[in-house]
Amino acid sequence: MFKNAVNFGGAVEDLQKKIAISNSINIVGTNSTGVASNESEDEKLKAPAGIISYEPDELMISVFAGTEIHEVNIELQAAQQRIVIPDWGTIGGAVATRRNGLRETHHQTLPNNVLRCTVIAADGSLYQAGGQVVKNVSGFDLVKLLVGSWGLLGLIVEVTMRTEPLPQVSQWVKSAHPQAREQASKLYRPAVETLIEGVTYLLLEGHQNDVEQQISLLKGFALCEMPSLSHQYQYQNLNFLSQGPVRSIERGIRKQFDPTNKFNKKIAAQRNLLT
Amino acid sequence: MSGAVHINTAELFLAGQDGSNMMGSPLGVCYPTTTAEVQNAVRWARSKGVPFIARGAGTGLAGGAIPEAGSLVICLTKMNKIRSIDANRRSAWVEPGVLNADLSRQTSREGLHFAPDPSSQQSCTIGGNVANNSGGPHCLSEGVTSAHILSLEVVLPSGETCTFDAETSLFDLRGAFIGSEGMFGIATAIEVRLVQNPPHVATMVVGFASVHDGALAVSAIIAHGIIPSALEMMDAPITRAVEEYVHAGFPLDAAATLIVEIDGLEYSVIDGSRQIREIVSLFGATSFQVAETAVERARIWKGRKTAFGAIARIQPNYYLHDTVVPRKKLAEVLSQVTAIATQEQLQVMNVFHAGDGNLHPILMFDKRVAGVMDRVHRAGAEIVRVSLEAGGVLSGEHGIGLEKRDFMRWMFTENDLLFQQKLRSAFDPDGISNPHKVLPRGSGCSDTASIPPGSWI
Repeated sequence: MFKNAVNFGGAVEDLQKKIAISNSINIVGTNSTGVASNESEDEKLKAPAGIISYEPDELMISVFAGTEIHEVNIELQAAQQRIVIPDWGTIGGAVATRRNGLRETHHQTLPNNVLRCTVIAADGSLYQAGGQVVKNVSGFDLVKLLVGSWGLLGLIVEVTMRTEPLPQVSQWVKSAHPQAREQASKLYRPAVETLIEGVTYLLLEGHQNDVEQQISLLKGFALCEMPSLSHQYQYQNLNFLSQGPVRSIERGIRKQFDPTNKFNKKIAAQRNLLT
Repeated sequence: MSGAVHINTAELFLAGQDGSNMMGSPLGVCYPTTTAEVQNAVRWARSKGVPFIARGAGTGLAGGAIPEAGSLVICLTKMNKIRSIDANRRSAWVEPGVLNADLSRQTSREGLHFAPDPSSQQSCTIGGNVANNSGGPHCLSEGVTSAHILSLEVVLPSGETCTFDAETSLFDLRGAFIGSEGMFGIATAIEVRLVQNPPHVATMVVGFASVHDGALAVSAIIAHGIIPSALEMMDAPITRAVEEYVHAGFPLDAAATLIVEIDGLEYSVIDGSRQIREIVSLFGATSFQVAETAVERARIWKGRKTAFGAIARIQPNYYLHDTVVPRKKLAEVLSQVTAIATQEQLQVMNVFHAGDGNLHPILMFDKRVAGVMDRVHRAGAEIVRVSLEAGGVLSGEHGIGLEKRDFMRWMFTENDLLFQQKLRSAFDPDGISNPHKVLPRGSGCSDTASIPPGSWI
C-alpha cells in the first residue's frame, strides 16, 4: 500500500505496450544532443510531457520526462525557484545525458538533484528508483546510475527533482588573464568557476552586498553575461571508451537491464556496450 | 604479517558486531594495510568459496557490517593514511580507514573540510561513509557523501582493481557504488572533495512550547527560501538529558528545541539570521539565543552529537530509528510516533535532522525486562509504516543492512527490487561481497541464509 508504484495513466501504459513488443527503440526528446539515430527500422519513442506535481514549499517538482525545460522554468520562476539544468531540451533528455551545463563546478549538480526516476524497462515493465524526499539511502542508488545512462537502461518517463530558491543576485564575471584562476581562489565558493577557451568565468550568487564585496576582491575581471557553450563541449564524454574491469561492469549492467539490445543501439554500439 | 588472518575468539567476537544489536560469527578477520593485501584477501576468499565483508569502525546501526556466518572480515582500520591533499583542487586522496573527523582536522590549516558530518564522526571511517552514503546535520546544505566523492579505487568481488570516476565510464559507477553497503566490492582509496570553511557562522538555539510549533517553523524556514547549513530538532526529554551531560545552555522549559545554523558570507549570514528570527517568532518561539563564540558553538554541536551518549543516563538500552518523511508531514508523523511508543509502553525521544525531514526516534528500554524486545520491534515496524504512509522512505542515512532488509517490500515493488538486484549482479555476479544484506530474501538473489542471532527483522 505504500509502494512507490503510481498510476501514471494511459500514455505511460501505451508506451509500455509498445516497448514490450518492439525490437529496436530510439528514445528521443527534442534531439537537442543531435545523436539520435535516423535508422528507419527504429521505433522512435518519447516520454509523455507535463508537470505532475510541484510543491514550492517542499522544494520539489515531479514531471513527465518529455516535459521541455523551458516550460518547467516558467512554473518555477513564478514561485521564485529554479532547477540546475540549462534551459534547452527535455527534462528526461537532460537527466539521461547528465547535462549539468555550466553549473558543473557547483556541488549541487544534476545527479544530486534528481530524487526519483520512473523507468519503462526493455520488457515493458515499470521500475522506480529513489523516492520523493530529499534524503534517501533505501537500497542501491539506481538514480545515480540512470542519470547519464543515455537511454541504455530504459525509457525514463518520470523525474522528481529538487528545486532551489532563486538567489537575490546572480552575476557573471570573466577574465582572460593567466592568473585569473588564482584570483578566483580568493573567493568563497563561487556558484560556478569554469574555463572556456582560455577565459575564466565565475558566477557569483547570493546577497547583493556579498556579491559586490566578492567582486571587489577580484583584479582584472569584468562583468559579463552567461557564456554560451557548444553542445560538443557538453557531450564530450561520449568520445572515449571504458577499459578493463570498468568496461566489464558497464557491459554487465547493459546486459542485465537490456538483454536484447532494444534501446538506443547506435549509442550502445558507439560505446562498445552491445551485448 | 599484516595480511594474516586472525581466528582468535576475542577478535572474532569483535569483528562479529557493529553499532546494531546484532551479532555474526565470522570465519576469520584480517587487517590489510595495502590495496594489494585487500586484493589477496578477496582472491583467497573467492578461491575458497568463502564470502567476505569489508569493515571500518563498525559504527553502522543497520547491521550492514554484521558478517554472514563463516565469512572473512576484511577490516580496513589499518589503511588509515591520508595519501595526499591538493589544496588548489580542493581534494584529497585518503585510505578507507581514515576517521571522518581526522580528515577535517588535517585539512583545517588549508581552511578546508570534508562536509559529511555524521554524529559518529569522531570514530566512523571515510570508507564506511562511502559504503553507507552517510549524512549528518550539515548535509542539509552540503549534500550527502555522494556529493563529496570524486573517485574511488575499488577491489571488485572478482579480485580485480579499478577506478570509478567521472571520466572513465559512461555510467556513473562511482555514484552507483556509493551507498552499496559493501555489496559491490571494497573501496581501497577514496578521492574526496574538500569544501572551504565558512567565513561567517551563526548558530541559533530556539525553544518552542510544542513539537508541533517547532515542526511548522522548520517547514516555514525552508518554504521562505532559506536553506540553513543545519536545521536540527530535539524534543524535551533528550534536551534535558543532553543539557545535564554537556551544559550547552539548551532551554530546559521548551517542549522542542531547534538548532538552526546558517553560514557563508557576511551579509547572507546577517540577513538570514534576522529572517530566521522573524519566522520562528511568528511560529511561537519561546526562546531565542545566538552562540556568540566558536566555543559556545562547539558546545552546542557537542550536545547535539553526543545526544546518544546522554541516553545511557535514562535507560540501559536504546533503539535508534531512521526514516525520512516529507517536511510538511513532520508534525503529523512525530505525533504518530509518540502514540506508537505510548501504545507499546516505551519511552521515546527525538533528536533529528528536521530540515531534511529525517527522523531519528529513539526507543528506550531495559532489555532485561521480559518481553520488552517484542514491544520494541513492534514499535519500530510501526514507525517505519507511518513514515512510508506519509510518503516517506525507509532510511535517510543509516542504510538498510539487515535491519530493514525485509521492509524493502513495503517501499518497493518486486520489479523495483529486481532492477536493484540486476545492478548488484553486474558488480558481484557470484554474490560473495557482503551477501544477504539490503535486498529482501527471495528477490531474485541467491540468498536464503539464516538471520544472525539478535536481529529482529
